[in-house]
Amino acid sequence: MRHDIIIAGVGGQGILTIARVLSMAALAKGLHVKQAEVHGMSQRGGAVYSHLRISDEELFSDLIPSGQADMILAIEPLEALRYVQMLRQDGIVVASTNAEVNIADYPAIEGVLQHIARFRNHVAIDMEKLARAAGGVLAANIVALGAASTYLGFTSGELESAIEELFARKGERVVETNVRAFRFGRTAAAAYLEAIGRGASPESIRGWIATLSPDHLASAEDLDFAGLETSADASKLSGAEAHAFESMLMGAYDEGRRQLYEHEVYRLIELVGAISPPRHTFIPKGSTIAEQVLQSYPGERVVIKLVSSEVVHKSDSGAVVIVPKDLERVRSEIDRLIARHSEQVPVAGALVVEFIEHDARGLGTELFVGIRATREFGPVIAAGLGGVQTEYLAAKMLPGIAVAKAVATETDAEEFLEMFRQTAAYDILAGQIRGGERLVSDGELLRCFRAFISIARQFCIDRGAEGPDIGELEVNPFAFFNQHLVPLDGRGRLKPAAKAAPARPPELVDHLLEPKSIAMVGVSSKPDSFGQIILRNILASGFDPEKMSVIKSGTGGAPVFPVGVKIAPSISDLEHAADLLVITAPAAAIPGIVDEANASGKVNAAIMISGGAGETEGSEAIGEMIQNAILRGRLAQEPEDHKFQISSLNAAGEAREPSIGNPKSEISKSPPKGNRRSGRNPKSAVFLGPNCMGVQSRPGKYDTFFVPTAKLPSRHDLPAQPVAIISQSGAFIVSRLSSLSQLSPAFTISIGNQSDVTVSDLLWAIDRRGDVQVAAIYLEGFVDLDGLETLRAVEHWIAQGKTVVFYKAGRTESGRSAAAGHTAAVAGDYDICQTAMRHVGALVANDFREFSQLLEMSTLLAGKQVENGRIFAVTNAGMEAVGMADALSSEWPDIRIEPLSEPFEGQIATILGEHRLDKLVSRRNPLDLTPMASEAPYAAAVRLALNREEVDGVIVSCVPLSPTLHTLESELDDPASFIHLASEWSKSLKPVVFVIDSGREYNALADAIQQRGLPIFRSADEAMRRLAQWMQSRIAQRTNEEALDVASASRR
Amino acid sequence: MPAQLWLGDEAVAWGAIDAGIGGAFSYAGTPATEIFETVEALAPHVWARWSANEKAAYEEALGMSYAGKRALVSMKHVGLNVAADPFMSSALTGVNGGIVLVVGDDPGMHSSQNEQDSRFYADFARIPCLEPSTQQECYDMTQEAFEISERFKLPVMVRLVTRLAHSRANVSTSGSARSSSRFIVPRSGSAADSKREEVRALPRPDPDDWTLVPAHARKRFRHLIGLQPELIAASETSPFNKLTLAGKRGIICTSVGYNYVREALEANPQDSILRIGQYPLPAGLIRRLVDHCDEIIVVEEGYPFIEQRLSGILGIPGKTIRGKLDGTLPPDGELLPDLVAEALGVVKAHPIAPDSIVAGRPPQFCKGCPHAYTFSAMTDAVAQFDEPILFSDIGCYALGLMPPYRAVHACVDMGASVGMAQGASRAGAHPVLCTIGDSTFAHSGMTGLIGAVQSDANITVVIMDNGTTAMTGAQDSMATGETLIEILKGLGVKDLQVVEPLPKAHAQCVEAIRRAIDHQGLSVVVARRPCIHVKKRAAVTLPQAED
Repeated sequence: MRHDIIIAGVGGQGILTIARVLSMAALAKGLHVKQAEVHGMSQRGGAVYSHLRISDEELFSDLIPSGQADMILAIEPLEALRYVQMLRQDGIVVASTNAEVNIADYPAIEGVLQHIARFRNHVAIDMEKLARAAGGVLAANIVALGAASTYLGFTSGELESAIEELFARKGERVVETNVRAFRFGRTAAAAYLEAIGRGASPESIRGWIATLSPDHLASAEDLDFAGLETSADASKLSGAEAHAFESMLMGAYDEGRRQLYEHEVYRLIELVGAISPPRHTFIPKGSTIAEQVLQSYPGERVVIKLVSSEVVHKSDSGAVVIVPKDLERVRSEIDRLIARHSEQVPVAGALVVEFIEHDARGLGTELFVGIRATREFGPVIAAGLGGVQTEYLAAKMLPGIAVAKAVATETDAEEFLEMFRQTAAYDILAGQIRGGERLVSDGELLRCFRAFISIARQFCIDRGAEGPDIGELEVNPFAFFNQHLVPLDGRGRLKPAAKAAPARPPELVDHLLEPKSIAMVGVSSKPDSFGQIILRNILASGFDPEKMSVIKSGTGGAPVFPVGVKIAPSISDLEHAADLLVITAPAAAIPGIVDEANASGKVNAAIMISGGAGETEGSEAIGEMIQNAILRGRLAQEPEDHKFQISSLNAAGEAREPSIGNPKSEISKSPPKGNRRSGRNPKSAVFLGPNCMGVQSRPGKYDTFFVPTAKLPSRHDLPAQPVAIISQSGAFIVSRLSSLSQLSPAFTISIGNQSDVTVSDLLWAIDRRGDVQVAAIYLEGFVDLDGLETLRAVEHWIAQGKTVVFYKAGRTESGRSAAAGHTAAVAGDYDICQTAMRHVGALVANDFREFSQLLEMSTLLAGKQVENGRIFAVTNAGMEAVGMADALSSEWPDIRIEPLSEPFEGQIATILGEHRLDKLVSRRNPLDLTPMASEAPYAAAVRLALNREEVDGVIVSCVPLSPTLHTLESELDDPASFIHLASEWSKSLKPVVFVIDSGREYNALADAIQQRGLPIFRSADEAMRRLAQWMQSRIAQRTNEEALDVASASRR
Repeated sequence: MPAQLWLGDEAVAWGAIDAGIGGAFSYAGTPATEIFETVEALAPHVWARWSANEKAAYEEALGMSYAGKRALVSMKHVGLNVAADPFMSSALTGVNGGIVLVVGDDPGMHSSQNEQDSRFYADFARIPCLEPSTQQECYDMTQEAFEISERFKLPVMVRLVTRLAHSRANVSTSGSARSSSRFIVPRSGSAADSKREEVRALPRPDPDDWTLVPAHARKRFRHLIGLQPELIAASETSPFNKLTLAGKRGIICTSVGYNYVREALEANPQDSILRIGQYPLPAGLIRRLVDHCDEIIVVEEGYPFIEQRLSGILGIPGKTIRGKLDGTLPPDGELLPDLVAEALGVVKAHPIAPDSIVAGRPPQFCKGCPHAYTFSAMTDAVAQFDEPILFSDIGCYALGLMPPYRAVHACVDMGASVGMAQGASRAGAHPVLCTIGDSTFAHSGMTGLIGAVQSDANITVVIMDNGTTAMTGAQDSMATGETLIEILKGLGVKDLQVVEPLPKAHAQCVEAIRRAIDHQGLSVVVARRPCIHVKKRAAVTLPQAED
């Protein structure tokens, strides 16, 4: 065993004390020691060192030969480097990061630390800070010893004994301080080595160490490194970084602050290890910058910024000044800046920042990156053109061009970079415009995005901790320096932790879809009351009256309920459990009914019809009471949650019987549910509504819609289509059903206020049934974080080849406020919803008409296969050919109208020849057959196209006024008519849509064709757009499916 | 006694303590300072006071020896120049109680103005010299040195080098300290007359031996010459001189050179090795080595003392002699393990290149050092003159040569500044100032100042009184505070001002120095403010105080 150690520092730092302790410990073990010291001018601020050799064999030289030292142990970083030639190849460098800058040409500390970090085995920590925490900055040398001790063949006990012996004559306090310093150093170094070993950046691990409490540090050998576990997910922050984050957030939050200061934002992004902020120092109000600190700044100038939670746009408020790096000048500017603003706003201090001469070259050469916790979707990430024009550009440019945005939990850095590549910002930053020069590498962007996404995933949502979430964290702008990102300003906001309500168990939601028995409560005697209409509608839908009960207390009056329906005086008096309870009682009665339903244990699901239950002004109290009643039910029997237990419910809770099987096995069968926790009381019911029309269920044979059949004819004569419509607005549903007369969805669900069952609950439940291929969703708002869960459910739908049509109302609602930052301005809630839904492959409708068209088309095209986006169109009008081509846009990047291939063109030529159209018709796509064409060339061309590999979808369009076509109602029976072709075409595995652009004389043709399974459009360009949209989503779905195969295990 | 971790200096001190010294005498000087300090701190029964200078120290030791007690006198190599007068003559007088002179040489000039090799002094004086290689030998040889000293009635030198003096290693001690009770004085009459029983049995020294009037001195010199064969014979059989014959390459090594040879050759050297630890040189051992080998490499720390004697003017026919003279080893500077390994042809990898980012970090004034303010005031005070000459002296204030002051134009030896200033003024230079510390002033500045006072030289002497011997670790000063003022007055200084070098008093300091310059004739300015380290130590006890 031999240790050759160079101990280095600046005179006065106490390196000989380190040597002394080690020597004493070695001596106590009977080892040989040689320890060469430098005396003389050692107290004069010069470089001093000691060679320490410890061996179990005889030692000769007092000096360590070059290239043979096992370790350099330095209390000053530059001094560590002074002796590197002494070190053996795989030697260890243990150094303090505290620069002793007493020479004019001291190099930039970053460079010094980088040089140290080049050694694979190194520890570089702030030893002065640890010493201060241990009881005195003078003990930095013993911190260094502790840090080195992990490498040396001594136990802590052996070294601590030596420390005690050495310092004994200086008194107990000095001994204690030094023993503590030793432990701090040892702990910090162990943590540092562990983190470096798994690839954490030195900066991040130093940041983490800086946050350790003295207790934690002093634990020495007992330190639990569990918090430092490496995450298998590379984009996840390590425990060390997470810990540092947490401490910082809690610190600010406990101060009562909601804004994070610029330097705190820098610290956070630095901790993630991706981005180095410029050199900066926070000068708290009332103090000033030290000369040595100022002199350590590179360059001739520094930037002084105000630090205030109230000043967001600093440059607009005169809160930024650039001054020469002159001590007096900087100090007076700091004072002046603070004094000037202190009258108007609370000022925490000033930030002195390195002046960066960055590579800015005009508009758009700065980058903005931010994350923000949205109420509905959780954290989102946005990136785009930075600087003061960020909001302006975002508002004036096309969505997706100015700003890339995505839901952070559902996006990884690579995917987000792909999105960012579509933006104008990327074009400029990557030098892809005229005269452009690349300002930043993709790798740097990737690191940056990964950092922000990591922060978002871990600190904006699902935190488990009671601590605050990051509400917003953004850097605007990043400038560029040698292709690196340099943050020039940052802001952040904290908010109370957001939590999603637990997911409703799908096996209970099933009872809403297909109940075996139904009970109703709140049905009045009046025949035209909601309750009566619903009761009749349920029975009219084919529900077995034997399985129907009505809760009716009181006596007297003629029986007003249809024959067979059972009547019970109360829910608990029901003879059998009711799968579904339909509540038509007034809103004020609902809380009591909910409690009763839950207490009885006889209800699995319920629909709360009544409005005025929180959604209107004045009804908020009732809404809250309903919510509380539902919450009581959910939590009443969770024994681990005593604090939520409501005593009045305890007695009632006793009598329940289990209504479902083992919840655990049920849950394991349920579809993946993302991060929503399924902790619940297994006996409580699920509640749909209030303020809803309930459910029309064809499989369940029931209908709670209270629209008289005369107003909305029932579709019982039509076969049920594999479609579910979920709408927050009852009116929206009935309007759609009314106008889409051929639509016959398996489920039509009005969800109302979503006090319990949310849109995502329904999507998951329907998803697992397997008999529904298309979901159409109309929403005005999600409950907290349910947008995210819905997004996940939609992604799951689409991954299975199903279709989701989505419309979100509330474009103007954006979550914007005066205090909100750039991220909110450029990535509002509505934008995110649209972008994210589109990204996972939902067909996002921009208006009601689009919604109807997409719904209809999706229903009819369900099951079609789409390989690529190549559309072949055939028409008989030139204007349609042009119009269809024009309708394509970059919104659907994979959709193309490709020129005909040579063989295809040859076959078309043959067809044209056969029908004597060859002189009139150009052989191209779209194929304009001219008004001279009859149905026959249509038939031949479409048949040909559907058989060609190079065609993925077909649009058939006719201007039906041509005399050669059989398009009037009276001509439909003709064997040549399109309706026969429609039957043939609809059987193809490729999508075919039909266009009839003309008046009501041709409605019969349109209806007939649609009945045969082809979607009908009344305008060619619209047909092109919708088909393109639909096909694009199918392509996206296929891509997602592939991705999901790979990612499903890890992401969910 | 269990093993101790001792500096070479400490091991010497303990060797002396365990040899039963009655006194330790020294003037502080790196690398020898800790020898005296160890005795002073840890052997309360031994007389130990700093002396005003090395000459005084040696003379005090000599007196103790004449009075029958063992005495240790230690100093740095240039200190021996100061003490050379009594040292050279003591070789003639011989000793009564043993005298061991420990000299700390400073090859590489870590903190000295030259790297003179004290073995030449031992040779010059024709006394034995012991040269340890290890800390253990520091202890052992010091004890043995007293034995030799008393056997031959000669002072004995122990020569250390910085590397050994300031390096710690395990040392085992005999643990049996002998008492110092050889009190015996030369008196007319015989020992039998003594009132004390134990003294009566001892041979009585002859006071004529110690009285170097020419007649006695000639006799004593012949006696010294006559002793030389005995001294060489002692070296031949000394356990510190060890010959191991093996290969045809021979290595003569001394001091830490021996360590570096062993380090380079590792466990089983193939070469023949003569390791020398006791002088005069063991001629027989050297002859046997040379006869056995074709090539001799001399690895000695310091000057090529052995190498030069070996090769003489003509060399040894048929033999190659290598060392510092032929460039196998550098002629200057400290030996290093790398240099020795290279000289022996053992090439080791240097895997890591020096880091280019590293900037030099020379020693500099501590933050708040009073000297820095004194120099500021001085440079301002002389700014108006074209050719001011600023002499300085040995001490921390020599750092005044660095920017921004550049206020040291010459620094030669202890106390030289006052004399040099006087000489320069006699050449017509004006203004001429000199800076000297309080301790250096006491050491050798006073003698120069007496002359300047008497001739009223037109110079300004700035005495930087920081109350301590700061550079060597804050030993007490003999001429500080009011004592200094009284000394100055006693020496006859008339134009005397005292200032406090502080930033806030800058103007007064400048003014005082300006006034002193303007004064025709000798003027003295005492810049008085304690060394910040002395102040600190007085205030708190720091864990780092070790350094």
